[in-house]
Amino acid sequence: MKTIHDNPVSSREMVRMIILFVFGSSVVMGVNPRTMQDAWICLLIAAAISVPVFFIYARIMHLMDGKDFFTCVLDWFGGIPGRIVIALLVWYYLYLAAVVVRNFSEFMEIVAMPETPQIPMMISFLLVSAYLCKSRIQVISQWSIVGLCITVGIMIITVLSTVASMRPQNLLPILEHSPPVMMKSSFEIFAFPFAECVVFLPLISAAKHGSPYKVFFKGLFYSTLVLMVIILRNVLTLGPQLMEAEYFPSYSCARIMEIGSFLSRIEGTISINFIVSGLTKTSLCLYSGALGLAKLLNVPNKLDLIIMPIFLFVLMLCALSYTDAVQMFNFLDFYPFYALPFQVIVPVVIWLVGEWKAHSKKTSSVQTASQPS
Amino acid sequence: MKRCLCALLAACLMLPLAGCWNYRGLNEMTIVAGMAIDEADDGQYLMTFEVMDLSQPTKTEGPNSNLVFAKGGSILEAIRNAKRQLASKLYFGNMQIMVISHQVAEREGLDAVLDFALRDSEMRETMELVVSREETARAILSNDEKISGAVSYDISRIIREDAKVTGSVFSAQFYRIYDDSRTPGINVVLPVFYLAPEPDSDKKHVEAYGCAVFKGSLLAGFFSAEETKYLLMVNGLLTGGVLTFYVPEITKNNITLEIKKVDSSMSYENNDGKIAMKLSVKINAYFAEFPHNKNEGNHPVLDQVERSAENLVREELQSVIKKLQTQYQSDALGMGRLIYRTNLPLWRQISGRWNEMYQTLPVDVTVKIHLANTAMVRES
Repeated sequence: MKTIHDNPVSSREMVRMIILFVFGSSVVMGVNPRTMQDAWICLLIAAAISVPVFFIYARIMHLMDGKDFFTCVLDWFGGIPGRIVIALLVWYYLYLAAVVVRNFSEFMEIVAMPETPQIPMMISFLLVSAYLCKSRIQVISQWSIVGLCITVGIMIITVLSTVASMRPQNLLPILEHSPPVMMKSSFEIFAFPFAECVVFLPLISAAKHGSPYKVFFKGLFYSTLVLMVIILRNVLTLGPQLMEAEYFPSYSCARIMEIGSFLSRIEGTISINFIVSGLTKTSLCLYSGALGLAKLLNVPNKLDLIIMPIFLFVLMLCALSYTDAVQMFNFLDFYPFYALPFQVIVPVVIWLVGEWKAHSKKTSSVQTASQPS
Repeated sequence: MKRCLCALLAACLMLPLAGCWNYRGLNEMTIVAGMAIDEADDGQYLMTFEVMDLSQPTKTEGPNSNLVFAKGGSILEAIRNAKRQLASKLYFGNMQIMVISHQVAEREGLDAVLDFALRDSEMRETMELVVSREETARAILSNDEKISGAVSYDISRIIREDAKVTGSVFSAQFYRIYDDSRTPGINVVLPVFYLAPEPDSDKKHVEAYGCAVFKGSLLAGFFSAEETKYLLMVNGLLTGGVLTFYVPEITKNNITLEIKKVDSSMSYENNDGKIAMKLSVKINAYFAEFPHNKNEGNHPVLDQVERSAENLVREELQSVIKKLQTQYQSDALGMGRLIYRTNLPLWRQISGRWNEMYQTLPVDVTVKIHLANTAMVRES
């Protein structure tokens, strides 16, 4: 039976997956437009806050020494506490998958297909994700190469075609918002999308070569770059006021773009971006969740068996999570507080326990080494 | 098995990607080219839709448009009420302009119109919002003289090309209007159209009148096409247009310069809370008409023409700015926004009393005109 370790991926592919993952829902939802023309500063602050957190993620990987993440958690914490930690993470991964799919279906309902029920869209979207999971990480990573080419290509086209309608003055005045507002917005950007990379904890060990530090920090750097381009494009084209008012600023931005008078109405491309990167994000969440659940149920080699139940579970979560789009967008205000335990507190606990275990292992081996003499 | 699954998944993807639950063919749509919003006598909205007539063959006679009228308590209600007389639903995806009457602009303002157009997913953010100088907004769309089959498409093209050729109307796309209306220290300016009479007949045609300036979301007043040119100059939006003036010392005829490029910059000086604006406009132009006899004088004419043109532009700019400050009290040129963007602490101090300050704000105008060439003929 295949396991994650039989299908190693290169660290470069892992970086691509991180970029596409972070790109995920932000491509349509925009990157926290609350601070309007100052959003790019908040993005940089959020990236800076992410550095220590990503350092902890990478350190955990380093401490695991190439072993499977969930196995290590069980080893370090022992039976029941270990299972509680895994269960928490699995919940976060699966719920995140459901939220991403719901974003997608609400987006489709609002902008394109108001009369189409959301359930068929969710099912088709999730089925493809489930299939990607079933094909394992190597296929997801290869898909992410194609996906990144498509999304970044489309992003470059959209930037070039909106250059004519951009107004550089839209970035002024700089630092209009008070430090607490800026910090709040930065914190929100940190929680969504950067720290969602906690999904990669069980996956990084699939990259056999290359240090986890490099993978995480390269991913952070490039995804910040991509989000920066999106923010600047939106604020320069739409203006800070409209960007703040819109639910889907990138989509509106694409509606405005025109190349000459013949190429316009290319907002569909933004939907393609969302499908491609959203699919990657959902698949990665589902995959991490499936790995964790397999460990929890003690069937680590029966991943294929549990994919379909997980698919149904996520589908149900997706349909039940919000009553409507307004609730979904309101939840974004609370999301950082909901996500913080999973994104920071649980990893920090794992890290501390890991350090302690590694330290005690070291001292015991030193003791055993010193005993014969 | 795997192949079957792949086929199934591919079929699943077809549904959201290509298929449409609510597919509508061209025969089931009534394509709207533009719409006009008036106030009815009973306080409701009276909407006029210019819809494309697809029943006639367009190959021989070209496209044509018809009008549809509907009433309702809100814009959307009126749109839905229109279905009571139409076989197919109105389709707004290709709508180019929305005309509002000056009564709507004066009494209700832009809020309802802006909100509706930006909230609706079918209408495009790049539509133009136009104010009618006629008694009603529908009068503009009712005109029979059409070049491209629909008055709305004509107006949209006039607006698009105006800044390069004439400089008589502002272009105001919905997404820009929204941003301007919410940004501190600037008021919205919209294009205005009217029905111009044709000589020796009762016919009228749609023509750009100038622009309408707003105060908050309510209409404050109108500027003529000639005055609009100077407003566009300040905003740096002008890339064409002409300057016509009379210099009796040089020639008995009018001299005309064609504008090639306008660079304008606004700045301000702050002396202990006393703010003075500085406006500098640099124009590159060339001779378009210079019916001049070289025997009339030997002095260097080019310099004199430049000076006269500079004087003309300066005086016109000053009078337009005065009108904005005192008569309309509308900061359409964004002087407040300049302070807001470049000196936020100062703006926070003065924003509360900006409206009063603005009316007496000294504005120093400097104009520099450079004649780039004299076109195909020597100047003398």
